[in-house]
Amino acid sequence: MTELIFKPVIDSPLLRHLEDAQVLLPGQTVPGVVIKEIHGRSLALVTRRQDMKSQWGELIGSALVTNTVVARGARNWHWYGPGSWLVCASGLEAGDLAVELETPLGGVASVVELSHARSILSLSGPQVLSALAKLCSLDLHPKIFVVGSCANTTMHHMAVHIARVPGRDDFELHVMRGFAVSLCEALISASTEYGYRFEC
Amino acid sequence: MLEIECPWCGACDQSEFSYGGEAHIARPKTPADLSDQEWGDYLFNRENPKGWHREQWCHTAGCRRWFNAVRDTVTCRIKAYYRMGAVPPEEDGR
Ligand SMILES: [Zn+2]
Repeated sequence: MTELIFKPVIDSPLLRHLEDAQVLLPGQTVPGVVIKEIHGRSLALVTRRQDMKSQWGELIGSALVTNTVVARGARNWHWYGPGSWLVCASGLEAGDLAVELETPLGGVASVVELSHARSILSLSGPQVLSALAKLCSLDLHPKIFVVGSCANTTMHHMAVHIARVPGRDDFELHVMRGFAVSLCEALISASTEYGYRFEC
Repeated sequence: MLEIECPWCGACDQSEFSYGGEAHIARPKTPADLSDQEWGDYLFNRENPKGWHREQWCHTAGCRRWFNAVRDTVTCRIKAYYRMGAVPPEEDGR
């Protein structure tokens, strides 16, 4: 594949529906939870073809592990299921990541451009674990869900991919863009008692 | 709520899974040759045991893979997990 048939437009559904907000508790100076939308991220889903395990091993090696984010150069590979990875990159033109992956992987794996399909949030702050515990059934304690962990799960009945990307101290949440406003409202409602800041 | 051990992802809450009913029900090769009774058996009639039950689960919200589990329908304890197409644990001679 040399060119995409269409160039996805990566815009934010949150910008159209929500406004930046901060709610602090009396006497509080730092919000308990900070929810920020991450803009300009490129995503592509790579799924290994069933009969291509040995060719895949030669190309990629075996360093990609279950429920783990592995940094390969400037790309982060998030485990997304058996034989399936979500590749994330920053600072690329829309659609270029899929083209970059197609070149070596074409025939061995299918590559699906997803940049326009997901909204990505960064969650941080001293009370982030308490707020997430209300929405997520996974054990996100830093000793269990260590930096470099990722998982597909649900929050408020919405499918969410959650990750602790190596080199960052926040939680990254990926949600289908049509659910982005609902997820933000759920996160804000879970965070209100701790004080929060929301930026999109 | 059950805690189910996905063979790929590890222990997760039941809310991440979909139930697929009794395992090892093969679709008849020639449905047209079946009597209404036999076709009805295939479609609707299940063992529904009180005790160990081989059943299908899908980690819908996680890795999206189907797998089999052996669950006690009285206590809900799950004693074994095995892949789709694999021989059930009690029958593989172990
Ligand atoms: Zn799973």
